[in-house]
Amino acid sequence: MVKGKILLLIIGLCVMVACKDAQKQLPILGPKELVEKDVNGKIAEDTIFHTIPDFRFRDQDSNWVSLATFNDKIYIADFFFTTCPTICPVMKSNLLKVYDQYKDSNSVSFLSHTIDPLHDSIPVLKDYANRLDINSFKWHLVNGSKDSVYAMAKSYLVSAQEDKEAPGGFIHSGALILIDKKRRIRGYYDGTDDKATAKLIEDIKLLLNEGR
Amino acid sequence: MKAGEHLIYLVLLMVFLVSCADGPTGEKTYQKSCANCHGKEGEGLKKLIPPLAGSDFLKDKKSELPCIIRKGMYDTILVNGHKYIGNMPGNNELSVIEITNLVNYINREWGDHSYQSEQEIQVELDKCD
Ligand code: HEC
Repeated sequence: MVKGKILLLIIGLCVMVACKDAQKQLPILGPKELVEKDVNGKIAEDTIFHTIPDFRFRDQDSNWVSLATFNDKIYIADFFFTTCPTICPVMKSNLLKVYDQYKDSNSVSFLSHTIDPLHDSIPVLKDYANRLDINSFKWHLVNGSKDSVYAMAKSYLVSAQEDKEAPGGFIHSGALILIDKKRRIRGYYDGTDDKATAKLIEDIKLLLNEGR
Repeated sequence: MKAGEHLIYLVLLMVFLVSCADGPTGEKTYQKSCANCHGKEGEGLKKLIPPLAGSDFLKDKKSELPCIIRKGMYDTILVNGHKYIGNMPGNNELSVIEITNLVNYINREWGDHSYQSEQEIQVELDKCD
C-alpha cells in the first residue's frame, strides 16, 4: 500500500516537473536598458535587450556571411583557431554532436569565428571544414580582421585575445553561444563539457518552439 | 536484501580490481593531456585528428610513441588510409615515469597489451629528436 502511494507521489512529481519544463523559457542575457515610450498618449516602460550587431565576414567557401545569412534562423556561435592545442578540438567535437542533431533543420545554423585570421586563411578554413565533414550552408567558419573578430567577441560578451604566453598564442572562451532570431543571446554552454552540450541540444528545442 | 548486499560487494571488488589493473596515472595523464584531441576513447576527431584506437600507424611505430608524446608531431602521416597534416604539441612537462605509465595505458587500451619499464622508455626517449 505504502509503496503504491510513494509511486503515485513520484509520478505526480514527474508530471509537475515535466509541466514546468514545457512552459520554461530561456532567459535573455546581456545588459538591458529600460526606456520609456509613448503608447497612445500613455508613458510605458520598455526593455531593450542586448543584440548582436551586424557584421560581414567571409566563410570557408569565400561567401560573405552577415546577420542576413541567419535570417529567420537561430544560430550557435563560437570562437576558435585551427592550430589550437587545448580546448578547440573537444569544443568542435561537442559542437559536431549538436550539428548532427540539427543537420536537417533549416532553422539552426552555426558560426565559428577564427581568432587567428592571419594563419586561418580561407583555404585553411576550407581544409578544416572538409576534415570535419561539415556543410558550408549550415556551418560557416569565418575569417575577418583581428580587430573586427575581437570586437565581435566583445558583443557576444566572451573573451578572445592574443597572448604570447598562452598555449598556441591565444586565449579564448570555450563557450558555445546560443542566439535567437532577434539576435539576442539566450545561453552560454561550456563547449568542453558533455553535460553542457546535452543541455544546449535541449535548449535549442525550447528556443525553436518559442512563439509558436 | 542479502542478494543486494552481495551485489554491492561484488561491484566494489570489481571497481578495486579494475583500478588495480589500470594503474590510474596513465589514464589520468591521457585524459588530461591527450583526450581533448584524441577523444576520451581514443577515437580521434573525424579527419582532423587521428585515432589511437585501432591506429595502424601506432601499431607499426609503437617504439616511437615515447618520442611522439614528448616532442609532439608536425608531419604528414597516413593513419588507416587517411592523410593527416596536423600539429600535435609536445609534452615537455611529463616525467619519464608519467610517460611510461601513459605508454603502458595506451598499449593496454588500444594496443598489444605489452608492458614497458621506465628504463626501456628512457632508452627510447634518449633516441628522440
Ligand atoms: C592539440 C591536439 C593534440 C593533442 C593534445 C595530442 N595530440 Fe596526438 N596527434 C594530434 C595530431 C593532429 C596528430 C597528427 C600529427 C601529424 O599529422 O603530424 C597526432 C598524432 C598522434 C599519434 C600518431 C598517429 C596515431 O594516431 O596513431 C600518436 C600516437 C599520438 N598523437 C598520441 C598522442 C598522445 C599520447 C597524446 C597525449 C600526451 C597526444 N597525442 C596529444 C593532435 C594532438
